[in-house]
Amino acid sequence: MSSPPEQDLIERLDQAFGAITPRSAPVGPAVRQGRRIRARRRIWAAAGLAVLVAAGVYVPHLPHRPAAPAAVTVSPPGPGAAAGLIASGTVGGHRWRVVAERPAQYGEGPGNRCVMALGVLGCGPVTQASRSYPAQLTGIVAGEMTAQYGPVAADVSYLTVRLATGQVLTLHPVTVFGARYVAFAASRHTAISRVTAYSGSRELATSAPFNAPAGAAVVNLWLRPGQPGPARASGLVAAGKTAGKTWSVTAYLGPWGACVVSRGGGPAMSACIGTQLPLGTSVLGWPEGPPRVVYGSAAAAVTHVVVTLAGKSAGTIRVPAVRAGRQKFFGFALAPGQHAIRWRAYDAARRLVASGGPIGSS
Amino acid sequence: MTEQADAEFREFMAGRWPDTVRLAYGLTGDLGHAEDLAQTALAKAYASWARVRRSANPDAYLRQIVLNENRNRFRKRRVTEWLTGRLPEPGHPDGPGGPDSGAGHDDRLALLAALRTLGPRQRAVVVLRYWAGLTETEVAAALGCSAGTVKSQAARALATLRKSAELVEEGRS
Repeated sequence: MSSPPEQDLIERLDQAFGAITPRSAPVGPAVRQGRRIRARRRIWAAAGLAVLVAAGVYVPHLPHRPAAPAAVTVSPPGPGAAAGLIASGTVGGHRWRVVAERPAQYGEGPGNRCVMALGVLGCGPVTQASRSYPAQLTGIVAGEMTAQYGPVAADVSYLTVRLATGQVLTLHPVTVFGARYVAFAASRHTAISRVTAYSGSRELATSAPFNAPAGAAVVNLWLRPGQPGPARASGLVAAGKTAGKTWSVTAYLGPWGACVVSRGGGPAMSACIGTQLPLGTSVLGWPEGPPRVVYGSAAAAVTHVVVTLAGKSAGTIRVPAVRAGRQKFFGFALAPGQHAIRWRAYDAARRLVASGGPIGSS
Repeated sequence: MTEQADAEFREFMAGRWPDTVRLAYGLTGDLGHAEDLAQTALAKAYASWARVRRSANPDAYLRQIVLNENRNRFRKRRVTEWLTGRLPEPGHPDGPGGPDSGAGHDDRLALLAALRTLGPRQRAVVVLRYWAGLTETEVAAALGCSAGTVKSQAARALATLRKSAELVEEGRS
């Protein structure tokens, strides 16, 4: 556990570095540079081998010892498996399992379902998978592992999951308590590159998950074969210090859609919006604080948002709409005892574009 | 490299680029150097992509390349930079992409300026331990020193940061 000065430094470093927005990734130049490096290495290796051979040195078979990846195994429930078991397996030799709990066992109402994944119980409304969303996956992190689970649409035969380690997992839906589910686990340090849903041999849709800086990957937007996703972009939307605590809102756009990471009093929170861009003007989230960080999307015409505050430090604050790629966002923080009772979004000519409220009141 | 591996690398790089630049910025204190360092590190990751993607933790692999490249940068700089009797103007992180706007601007600049007063080893310890969130053992492994050295370097770095006038002032507010 960090001491208070260390914790303060952690927060401030996070804030300072989070504010750095590099130019877009120079993938092409890096690849070309990488190819040159590889070519040079081959020349030097060939030259070295030639010298050894010329000197009559026996070159033994060099053992190939790659670092062992955290290999993942996924097994469907076998005969006699526990009721509700969706899948189990190992990550780097450590066992994992994901089990759907018997309906209403925890007092959850109709339309809700509880799942025990990696020993963590999660309950919530069952969102039905559909043609647009062939799988509604929920991600959790527990210890050094992360798991994804959720219902799949009726026409999905199987899913493939490509991990950043290169391993590809094949997930076959399992029917538990009347719903078709899939689940898998991986190391929390392994990004999920792609999830693809198939009907027979036909590809239905692909999702590029948002690998959040903190927390589990978010499988958010599904794209049909050939359908282009939003271009990648990111940017700091807002940041500050409220009630002695630093906070920030950062937006990430890409094939996963639009995701916002808010850092406030607690751990970083990720929220993704599962629609194609651009988004209209609305408040998207206000995770618990303090400070309570409020963030939203703004239409292209919006230049700023005026928030009317009540309670402690009543008044209004003017929040700029900040562009990240093709989308604008805004963000602000509420101190303890402060409530936002109304917000109004304006364009450059100070015309009202959208309004709403109250927000953030608990 | 196969077309598929090439595509995987491109995806990997696009996702890791911002944080790689941020790590490099923490080590170098200069956005231009940081982007150069990050690009070189990712180019090296491309050159060894088969090994990187097979590793248990590609992010840790990439981080190690960044650290090694940063060390090499210092070795190379020794012969290209001259010592002068006058301190140069400190680099200003303002500029395209720098942390130059938004609330908390002064606070960020003060922290980054204070970081630049640390030696390369202490700066690396602070960035890896307190920004990247590595344990003392992991930092020690990454920097090729003992956990005790990491602990003492971190303590000294924190003491220096606390002594920094800007940070003391911020701490009082």
